[in-house]
Amino acid sequence: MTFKVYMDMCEDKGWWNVKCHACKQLSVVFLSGHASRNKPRDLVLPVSVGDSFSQETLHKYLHTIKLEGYQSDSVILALSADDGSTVYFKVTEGLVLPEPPEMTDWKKYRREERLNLQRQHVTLQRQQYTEYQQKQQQQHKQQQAPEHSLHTDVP
Amino acid sequence: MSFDRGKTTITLINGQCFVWNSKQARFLREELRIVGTLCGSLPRAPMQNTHLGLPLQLMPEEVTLLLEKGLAEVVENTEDVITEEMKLEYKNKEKKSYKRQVELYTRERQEEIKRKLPQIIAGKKAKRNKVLDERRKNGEIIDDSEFEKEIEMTVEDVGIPTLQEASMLMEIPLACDPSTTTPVLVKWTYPKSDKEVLRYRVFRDLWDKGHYLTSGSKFGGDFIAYPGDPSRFHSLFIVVCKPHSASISGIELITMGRLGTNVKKTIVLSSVDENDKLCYTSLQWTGIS
Repeated sequence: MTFKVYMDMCEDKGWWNVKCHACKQLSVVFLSGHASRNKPRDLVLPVSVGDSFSQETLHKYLHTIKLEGYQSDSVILALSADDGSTVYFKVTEGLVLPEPPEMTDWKKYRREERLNLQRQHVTLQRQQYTEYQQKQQQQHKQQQAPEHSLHTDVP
Repeated sequence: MSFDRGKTTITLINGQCFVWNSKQARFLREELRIVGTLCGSLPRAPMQNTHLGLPLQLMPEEVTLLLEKGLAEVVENTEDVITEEMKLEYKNKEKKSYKRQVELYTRERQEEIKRKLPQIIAGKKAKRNKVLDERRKNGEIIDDSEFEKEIEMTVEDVGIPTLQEASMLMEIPLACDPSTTTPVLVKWTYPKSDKEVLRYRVFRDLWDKGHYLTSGSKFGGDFIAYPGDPSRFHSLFIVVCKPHSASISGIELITMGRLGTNVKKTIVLSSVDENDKLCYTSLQWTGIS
């Protein structure tokens, strides 16, 4: 399960510098990584969707899952199902204000921009490939044509 | 029974608490941050429920808070017992009213007949002449002078029908008669069960911190916390009260998390830990997709 989450984070979500750590008190393995180059390191605890939690256990996680020399007041629970699909929820102690609507709108905008860029990139690549293929075909034809004429010359 | 003028009167009706006085309701909202829910129709706009009016319905937690602070009292209106004397008195009143009505009615009818007497006589004459005409046609010989004969009639000769008791006019009082109910102080026993105790603890703590709290049923939680007056702000937290060691399945966490994200609010799981301290856990979506 930890491996599935690790793969998901690295390949699907594209997190940076994902590392594995062990917490001896709870005997669990947890991961840490950056969502992007500029974001601070987040601690991710893989759990199964079928597990049940209580506020007591959540608080235990918050207090015992720590990295040396790194302060973090939240843990991300990576709830993964049997098929590997994972949902990430951030658990924090205390009252945390939700993101203001300006932030969510801006993030949405950024995400759309990134997708557009990707699409453009893909179409460009496709164009280049088709051009290359056409060129190859032409060259192949040219090579065949002179050979053919050689053969006909010889009686 | 005299009641403290300075305290808010909360009326208990069928297990629910209401504030009927508009000044008191305003005071609760503006000075005490107790919001409640308006649940009555507005007298000038009754056929809609976008804007509701008094009475203001209060949550049991709000009532307990007001009682603890000594700012309100809970009363219940009890029906006065209706004695046989009261029934007899009412029947006598009815009889008197009937007699008086018959008198007035007779007098009025007599006045009317007096005014219309010439018309009545003329009408009777025309009728009699018509009958004579018919008889003439049938072959009877009638003298012309019969047609001219006058009819002597007085007012008393015209009959007046009796006024039935069933069609008597009844008086319906329009002003509220306060003498049939008496307000009685009620012993308020909320919170009782563990769940209620936890809910009240959380409510009280969040209220002390300065939030405005309302019922959370619209968002699937126990309370909704606003940073200011609900009419001016969007709420920020959906508070879910659960015992500290009660198990929450992974699916439930995902449900709550998704709900919170979709409505741009943080889910706050609240409970009381072993050291009797309130602890809150915030659940947010990380935005990784």
